[in-house]
Amino acid sequence: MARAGLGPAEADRLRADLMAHLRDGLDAGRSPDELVESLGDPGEVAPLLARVPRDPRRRPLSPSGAPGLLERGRSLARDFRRGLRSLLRAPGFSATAVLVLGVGLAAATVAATVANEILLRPLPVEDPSSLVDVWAEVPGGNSFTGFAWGDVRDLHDRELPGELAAFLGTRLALGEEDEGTRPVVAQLVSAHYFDLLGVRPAQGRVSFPAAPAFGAPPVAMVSHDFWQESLGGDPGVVGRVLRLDGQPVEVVAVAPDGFRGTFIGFPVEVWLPLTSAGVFVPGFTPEDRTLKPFELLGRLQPGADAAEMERALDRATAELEEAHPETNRGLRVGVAMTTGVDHSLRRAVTVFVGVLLTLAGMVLTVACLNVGSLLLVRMLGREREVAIRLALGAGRARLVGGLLTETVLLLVPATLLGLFLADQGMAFLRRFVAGISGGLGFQLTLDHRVLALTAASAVGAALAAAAAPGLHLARRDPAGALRDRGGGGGGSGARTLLVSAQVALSVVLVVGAGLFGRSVLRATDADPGFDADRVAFFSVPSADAEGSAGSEMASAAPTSEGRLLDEVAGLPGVRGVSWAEHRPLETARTPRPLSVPGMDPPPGGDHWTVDARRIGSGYLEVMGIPLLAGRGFTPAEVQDGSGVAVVSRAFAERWGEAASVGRTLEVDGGTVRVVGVVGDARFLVQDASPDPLVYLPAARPAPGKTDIVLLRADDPLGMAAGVAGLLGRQLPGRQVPVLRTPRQVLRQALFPQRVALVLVGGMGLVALLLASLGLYGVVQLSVTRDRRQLGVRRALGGGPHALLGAVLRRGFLVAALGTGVGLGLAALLAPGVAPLLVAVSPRDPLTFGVVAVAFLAVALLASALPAARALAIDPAEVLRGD
Amino acid sequence: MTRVHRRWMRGAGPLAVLELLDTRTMYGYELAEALDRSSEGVLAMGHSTLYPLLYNLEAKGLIAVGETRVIDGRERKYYRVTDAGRAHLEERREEWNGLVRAMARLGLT
Repeated sequence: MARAGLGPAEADRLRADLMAHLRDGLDAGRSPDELVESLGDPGEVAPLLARVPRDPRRRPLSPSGAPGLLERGRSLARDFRRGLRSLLRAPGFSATAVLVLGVGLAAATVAATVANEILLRPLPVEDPSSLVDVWAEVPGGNSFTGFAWGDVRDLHDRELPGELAAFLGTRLALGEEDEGTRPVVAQLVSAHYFDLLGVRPAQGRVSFPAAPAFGAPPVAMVSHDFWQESLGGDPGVVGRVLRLDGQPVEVVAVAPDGFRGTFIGFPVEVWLPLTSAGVFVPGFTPEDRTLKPFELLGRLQPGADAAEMERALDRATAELEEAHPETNRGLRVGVAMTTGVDHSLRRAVTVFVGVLLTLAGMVLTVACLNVGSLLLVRMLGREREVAIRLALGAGRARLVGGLLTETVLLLVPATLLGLFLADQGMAFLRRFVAGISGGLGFQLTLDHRVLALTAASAVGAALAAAAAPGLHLARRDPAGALRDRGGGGGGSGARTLLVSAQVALSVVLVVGAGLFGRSVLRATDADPGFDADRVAFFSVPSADAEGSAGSEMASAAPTSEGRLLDEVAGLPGVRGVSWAEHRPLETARTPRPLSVPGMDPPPGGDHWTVDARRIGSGYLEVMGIPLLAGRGFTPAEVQDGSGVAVVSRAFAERWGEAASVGRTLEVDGGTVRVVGVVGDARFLVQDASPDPLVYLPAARPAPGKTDIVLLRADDPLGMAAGVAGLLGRQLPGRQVPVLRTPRQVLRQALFPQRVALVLVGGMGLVALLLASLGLYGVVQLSVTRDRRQLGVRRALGGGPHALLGAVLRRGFLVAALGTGVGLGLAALLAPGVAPLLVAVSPRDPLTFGVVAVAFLAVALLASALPAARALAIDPAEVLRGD
Repeated sequence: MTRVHRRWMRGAGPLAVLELLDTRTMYGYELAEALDRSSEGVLAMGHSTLYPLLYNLEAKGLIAVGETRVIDGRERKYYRVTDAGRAHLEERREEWNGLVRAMARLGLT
């Protein structure tokens, strides 16, 4: 009314007065919506405000023309105050965003901590970059084959581009026999081992006797943790006498806090001189070159590298082979920089850590997308405020800055929450790992590296989360926003994309969890081909305390194992006893050369390779492996130890007629006649489908190896007490071997998969939850936005089914898009985790299918509530509103 | 809250503004708030209506900008009623009271 006919001067004056009014209103804390309403008809006011040039008084300039430092500071402080007020006004949004970001950051922190501990954190020794691991590579050997003392001594005497120290890991029984013992992880080390590492004890002195003083009274350095936990932090620990495997051992030093040996995850509790091998390593004599228990660690000379050390050691081992062909045939060494991870595990560990980091990154990304879409919705609800601020002359950069300020304000509590959750998660992981691995121990502590990464992730997360709403803000037309009465109309495309991306990443995570879950299930449930529930076994060092190992007499004379077997067989409930060179389930292959007369060797080689198992009398019966053709070994053949073989069904199928009963084969350099074919028995944990296997008879396993004694019983674990009592009497003061079942071995061997399942599954669940929340949000928003349209459709006679279909379809489409992309991404990435999968293809159709169905079901569920709300819309009310 | 029809506001608005400014000087935002509060929202008007109304009263010499204060770097114009405005208000008050009395007699209270 009064405005009609305003001249240009009055229009300018009105504009200025309205501006002043808006500022006064904002200062007085009135809501932007209320203020816009108070202006009058938005259709007429909006163009008036949108034309206002920026008020120069809003940004006082320094003499140079740029905003002064003080003014910048003030403006920042204003932004923070305003951001804080605005977040406090929306506690639901703030709490959700903090929680979501906190969970994402916790996932990143846990993954970073694991990666840091395993791959990044340097060992707490002097100059770890010049340390090398040295390992033996022996044909047919596995990662546990080491060096004989004679080899160590000979290598030590050689001219090498560095220095070597030997060590040997073992478990000893701590405590008095009558008071109960507990196993401790011990390492027997060269006299100069600690000098080589540059580790100085925190208390006491280490002066381990040097070889060849075998038999010197044992002394020990204990780890800081052992001192604190097992010795109660006794201040007089130096000089205290421990009893290890029944032997008195004087503590002479305490290791510095943090030093736990050179293998991450396998903390050493007690170090003993190598010279005590005579006491603690059964059957050890320095002259015996068949016993190869020692590992080597090297310190390179300045300027030397691992390859140079390897070349020098290769020359040395070639000479060793020549000098001792009977024990060093094919001996070669491998050398690599010491990383704290055994070279044989390095690839798998690196893949595992890489997968973990990738997955954690995905969870964090899902969290960012989620918070991003929350911010976007909030931004849509604040369009009026934004428009007013734009009209009042605030630059868009300033508004985006305000948005970032709010996000940063969210980040502070989110980071604290993330660190708290990560700390809880790592405590859980420590317990979980210790619980299922038996002996593995990780510190999983935060350090500056992890904190820096968490902080960087947090900042990255803030920028990522603010990106979509920021872009929307930068593009929005203020006059349009002022005119819009409904609010929340724009940005739905961006939000749909954000939610689809969340769904896609969650699908990848859940597929990962599914693959690990299937691995554990399939590896556990697959028929092993033997009576896994009726068998138990324990390992006994083949060289007994009487020192008969390795002697020519061993195979002929009644050994202590022979007596032991008889005694085990005599225990009530035991239905059969046998022995073997290997456990029923192993994690590593032991390939032996195989020639099949009448068949050409494989292309590019002069022989096949096959896994062979040396077994004792009655093994097949004890294990319950069915005989399919021919016969098993006779006692005479077992006693004789050679000349015959029994092959598995897979073997017979692989080599056909040439491997049938009565034919001869050459296995491991000896000629054997096939006397029988037996059912397939799985012998590798990670391989659920049985591979060809050949059984050879063994009167007793090769000297220096470990015997496995197997027993058959209806309740195999029920035999544990009887066996322990018997072994305790046979091996006084020593760590008593534990009776285990193949199922337990399997569970333990599947440790990486189970850890992966827990980690990936946890992350997958979080991501799924976040994605379904996001999905719910996007459908709910569309229902709110289309309320009028939905109401009109109802009024025009649209049935509830059609309406329901329309709303559900929207959620379903977003989820289908995300699921499709996610499955594609998962198919692309899954081969990366193949080394960690057991008996499951990385693109397992069942896993992919179930995940797809599950996500679409979740999408329908997430859309159900908004759909119900859409049905409850009263058409009359909507039309009245029009 | 009952909002008054535009036609009523056309007559009542200027009178209400003069009445409020007669009690004390006020700046635009303050005046808008006072109108809203004192009339319990009945006489609240959009600011894009209020300000042109003020310009109109100013042009007729019924109100004037009495004083300009600078608060937080922003100018605030305080309006006051002029002598002519006060005389105009007196006349209109009489008319208004007469109108209200007449309506009351008709039973409109």
